[in-house]
Amino acid sequence: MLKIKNLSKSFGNLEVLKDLTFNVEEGSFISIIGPSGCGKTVLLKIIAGLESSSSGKVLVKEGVNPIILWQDFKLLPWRNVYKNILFSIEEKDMPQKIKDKKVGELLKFIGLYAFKDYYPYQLSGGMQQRVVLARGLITEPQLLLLDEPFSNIEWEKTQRFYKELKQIQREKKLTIIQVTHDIPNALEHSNKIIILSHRPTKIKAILGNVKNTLKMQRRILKLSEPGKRAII
Amino acid sequence: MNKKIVFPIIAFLIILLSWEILVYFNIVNSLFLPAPLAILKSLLKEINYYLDSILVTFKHIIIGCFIGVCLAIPIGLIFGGNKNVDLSLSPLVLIISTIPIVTFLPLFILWFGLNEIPIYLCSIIAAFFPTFLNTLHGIKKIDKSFIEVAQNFQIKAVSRRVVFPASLPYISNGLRQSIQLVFLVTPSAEMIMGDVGLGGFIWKSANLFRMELVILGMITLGVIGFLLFKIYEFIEQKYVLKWMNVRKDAED
Repeated sequence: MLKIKNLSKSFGNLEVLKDLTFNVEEGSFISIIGPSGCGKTVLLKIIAGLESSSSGKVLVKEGVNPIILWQDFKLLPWRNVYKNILFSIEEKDMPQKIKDKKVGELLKFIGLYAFKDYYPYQLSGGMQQRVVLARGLITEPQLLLLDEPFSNIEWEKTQRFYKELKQIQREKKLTIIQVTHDIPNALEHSNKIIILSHRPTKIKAILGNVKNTLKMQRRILKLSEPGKRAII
Repeated sequence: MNKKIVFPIIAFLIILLSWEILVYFNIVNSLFLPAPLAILKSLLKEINYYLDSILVTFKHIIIGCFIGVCLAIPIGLIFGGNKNVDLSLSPLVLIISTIPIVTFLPLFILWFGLNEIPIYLCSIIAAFFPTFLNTLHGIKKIDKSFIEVAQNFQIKAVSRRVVFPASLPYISNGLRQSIQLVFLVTPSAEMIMGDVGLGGFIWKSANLFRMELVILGMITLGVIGFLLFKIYEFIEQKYVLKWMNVRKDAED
């Protein structure tokens, strides 16, 4: 689904990403863990094609448009919840009735059907995050890039969303790459964990076959701290 | 008892009464400041001319505003979307925008004659620049992330779906400034031209030393302006500021 080879990104003199190489198989769930400010969002943007790389290769499977679920939501403030979710499929070639049906389904999925006429400024952070999720999922993406997607949502709802996401993953072969600080959830749901260093950000470790054990959690915590050597 | 409405009315009536008393007892010379009742008397005498003038000024303001704004928003969008156009032409436009608008009158009179066209042109220019400049500024100031979201979802009509709604608060601000400027400029232009509208009404009355009509004209302009702004504020609140509340705070 995705091949990254020697990806580097600098903003002028500031070297953000350095020589990143990793692969993502179709249908897998990857978690990227790293310190704040190490360029995780930039990485997602580059994968989605919104930002250019300075060097290296980013190869996305043909026909796939990676959808980003932003950490700071980026909902359109002048549109209500309904229209925000509709936004991503508004220009698609299908009858309006079907579009409306899809929006309705997603509204029910995120549990905000009663709020469909509300505006973003009237919603809590967690509610906005759910709208962002719906806006992304309605496009039936093949590759989903999550930027700390559930940081504002309560534990139970987060678990439910992860469960649903994994179910969609199984049914539709959805590939998910998430950037997160939530180590237990990352271990619980991912096939692979990539640990990034501080800036200039390199890959510190790639862990496959992870299990959500205390031992693993501690190991990852230690790895994501500065000053540790890389292990692959 | 709604204090917001009752207090100003009472204060106004007290001021009116004091004014009448001051003139009545000749503490203030009625030649320099006619009394309210005298103004009322003259109003009733010249009611047709007065109402006619109001209508004419209204026409000048509304049509000028409409044309100016209809030109300003698309041209502003073009300048905002096209960096080369912006770089080459904006400095020139900015310089022209600072020229006091009524000073264009001699030129316009030469070109178009002693009729209402120079007044309309001044009104259009007054409406154009604030809306144009704010639209341009607004497009540059909108949050780039909205464009990124549109890009991510491969939206084609980005201008219509994202840029324009996102710049509406700025455009709306420009509209308000346009209305203010048109309101400033139009009666002045009418006064300089000397015969039509409330500006002409004031000027002609002043020439005949009918000060009560001059004051009537001034008060009328004040009231019309006040009403216009209140109406605009209401429209803005309902259609633009609805969702803007948090946006504005977020910017601060």
